[in-house]
Amino acid sequence: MGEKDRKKREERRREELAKIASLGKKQRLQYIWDYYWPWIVGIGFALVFGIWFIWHSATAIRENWFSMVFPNAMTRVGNHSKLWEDYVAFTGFDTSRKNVLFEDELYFDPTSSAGMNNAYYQTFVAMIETGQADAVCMRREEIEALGKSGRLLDLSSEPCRELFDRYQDRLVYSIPYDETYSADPVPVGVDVSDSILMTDYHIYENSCVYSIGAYTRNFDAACQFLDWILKGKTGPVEKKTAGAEAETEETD
Amino acid sequence: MIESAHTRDRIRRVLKHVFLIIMAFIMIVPFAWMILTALKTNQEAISVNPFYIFPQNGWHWDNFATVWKSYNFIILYKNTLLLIFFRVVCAVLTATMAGYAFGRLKFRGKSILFALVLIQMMVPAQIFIIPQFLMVSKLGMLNTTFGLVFPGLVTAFGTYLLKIGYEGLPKELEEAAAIDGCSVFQRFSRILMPLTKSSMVSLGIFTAVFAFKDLMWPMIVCTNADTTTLSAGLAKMQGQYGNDYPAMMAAATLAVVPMVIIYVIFQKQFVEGIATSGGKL
Amino acid sequence: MNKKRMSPKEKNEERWAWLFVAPTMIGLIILNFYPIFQTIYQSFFKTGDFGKGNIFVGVANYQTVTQTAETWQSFWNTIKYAIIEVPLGIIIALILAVLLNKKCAGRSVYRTIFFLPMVCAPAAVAMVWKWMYNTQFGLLNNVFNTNIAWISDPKIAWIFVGIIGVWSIIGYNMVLFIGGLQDIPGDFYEAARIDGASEFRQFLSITVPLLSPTTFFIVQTRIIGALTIFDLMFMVMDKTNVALPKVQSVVYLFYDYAFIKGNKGYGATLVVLLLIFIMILTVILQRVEKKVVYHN
Repeated sequence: MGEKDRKKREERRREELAKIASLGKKQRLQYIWDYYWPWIVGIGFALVFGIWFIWHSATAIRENWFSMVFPNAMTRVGNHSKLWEDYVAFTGFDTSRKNVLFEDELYFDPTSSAGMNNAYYQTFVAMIETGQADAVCMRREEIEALGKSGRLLDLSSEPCRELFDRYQDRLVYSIPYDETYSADPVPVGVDVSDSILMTDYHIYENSCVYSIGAYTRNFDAACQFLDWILKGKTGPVEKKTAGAEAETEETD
Repeated sequence: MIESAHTRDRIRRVLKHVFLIIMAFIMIVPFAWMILTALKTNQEAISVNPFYIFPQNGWHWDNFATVWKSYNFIILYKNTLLLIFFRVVCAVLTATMAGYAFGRLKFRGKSILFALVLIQMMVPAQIFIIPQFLMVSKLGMLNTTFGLVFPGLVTAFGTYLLKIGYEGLPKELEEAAAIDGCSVFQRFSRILMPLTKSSMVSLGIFTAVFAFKDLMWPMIVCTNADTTTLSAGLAKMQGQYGNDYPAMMAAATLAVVPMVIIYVIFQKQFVEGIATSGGKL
Repeated sequence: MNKKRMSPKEKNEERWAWLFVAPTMIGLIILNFYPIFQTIYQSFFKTGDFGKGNIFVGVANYQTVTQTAETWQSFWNTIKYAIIEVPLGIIIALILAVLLNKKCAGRSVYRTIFFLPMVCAPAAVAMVWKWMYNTQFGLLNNVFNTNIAWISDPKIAWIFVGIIGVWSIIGYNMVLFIGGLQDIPGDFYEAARIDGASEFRQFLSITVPLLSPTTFFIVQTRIIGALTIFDLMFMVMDKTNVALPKVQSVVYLFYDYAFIKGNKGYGATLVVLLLIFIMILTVILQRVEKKVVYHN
């Protein structure tokens, strides 16, 4: 039965080829297109798509040296901004091999629930939870609110011991939503209000806190970035003007 | 007798139009609001007086000019059209094939596989965001058109829609073709597929609209202003302009125009669909 | 005749069928089923905070979720929303589609207008509805001279949120209905007209049965869509709205836990429960389908 069927199919194919061969050139093309266009379109599309995909994945840069988000930044500090260039120059990272990503176009307010009802916040969550973002900089009260969700690294945990000791005067604490982890405030950020981010690049007003994401893939680079922006400052934050101090106290 | 039938017909027609006009009015309000807001000053736009429908201090057409200049709309349009094109082609291609198999062919495991298609639709889309983002970033496809198209490579909704389309066609068509010695593929490509044109067009419209409206995904995978789409670009503008509602609405209007044009073109296909299938069958 | 062994013809058909469903199924498994299994897996874990790994907790999440009143309230809210959106959205869309299927003046203009809400910017939609529903300055209260808190009174808010849902879904349903109507051969109506059947009679004896597969499809997909509603509430219901607990849907609650509070395990549990609920409904619907829907 199977044998017979195969023979029949072969016969049909031969007939078809003979038919195509018997037609004139223009007619032949017309015939092929009429009967086989779904094949031609389907395979053509798959081919184009396949080549495109392979080409892209061959040339794509998959890994990051370091990736960082600056939500609600007031000045442009994204990719190829001055901060980015300075950082790349300082570290000497080869950006043709791995990426250095600075994202400054996210706007959300973690201090109010309404401020987290937007696509920027979802973007932020996706970046931090997948480790696509290694660290985040925000205002003090924003980090305190953001830390509640447990998406930032606990700086008192073992891998951060060194960081914790060095910057113990600058730690920013946050009380988790979920009390089973800890009912006490957890250190989640380092106050960098006197760092070059504020003095040279003016990305925020009043305060700026640096936090490392809980799912970071480049912990060492994240520590290095912190040391770089602070330029060796380790003691308590130097308060510049009385006005700024009053503001921060108020928000606390 | 004839006279009264004629009047009745007329009354019915008038009633029909009254109903359609009321519905059309309800449907058009937000759209009209969008355009009117785009022409106001910010002060007027945020005033809550319900009777300030029209701009009070002159029509500010310059809102459009400002927005047009401040963003590279050409690139945004290009990215959006590319996204729509690839999503529509992928969706129609894969859904037509799968819909035909589910609707017309017998095979083992059909009910289980179809159950999977249904289950995909039952799950809130929010759970896919993070895993799919991770896949795209692992592929190194962030900020590319492929990254944008990625979640729309296949469609469960479209598969279901096309399955219904194929099931609705009369059985005799296929039986006659089988007697003529058509293979499974020929039956599909020559006889049945052309008859599901209207389902394919509906799927095309839906895919295009969803791709256009999708805000979340383009924002996540394409953070570069050069690779993102209109809706995501506009959302960024929202952050940039803060609460400048006229600017936001002017941008939104500029974004919608090509979509309406696409729909009008597709709709013509619809009407042609009636003309051909109505005559043939 | 012989049930176990398939004839070569059937075998050939099966091969084609597998080839045809392969792209879709492979895509769905990678893009969707992998995340779904991940979600189910997560629901058995307590999400690790602050860089600590996840902790296996068995069914503890399920116990907490099912013992929380908020969960059942959100399920009830979602069902109430579906009860408004699904029937109204479908009936109005069907009427419009039937009216617009016949040649009439301005048909394409109407169709384009009914399509507009689908492409309108969500921000514009939210703004307009909030403005219309505003208690003090809103259009509705001013026109009807009332003082109703349309979407912030916990008792009635669900109705008016549902109405926005109906409004935004009519276009989608209508496009599908028009597609379905187009597939009904014109000569059926021709024959009925010759027999002297009235238009209403034609609608009942031709349109309704022949459109039933499309109708069922819309009912099925809209029930699923309404039960997984999120975007609309996200846009219209502010976090400060006092009616929120009586309106928020399951997916809204999921968002609150998984995205805002960072408790993915708890959020995943909610999604799994919702999935089970929708699956049960779908099985029932598929049973009904076999009895109600016309198959040729």
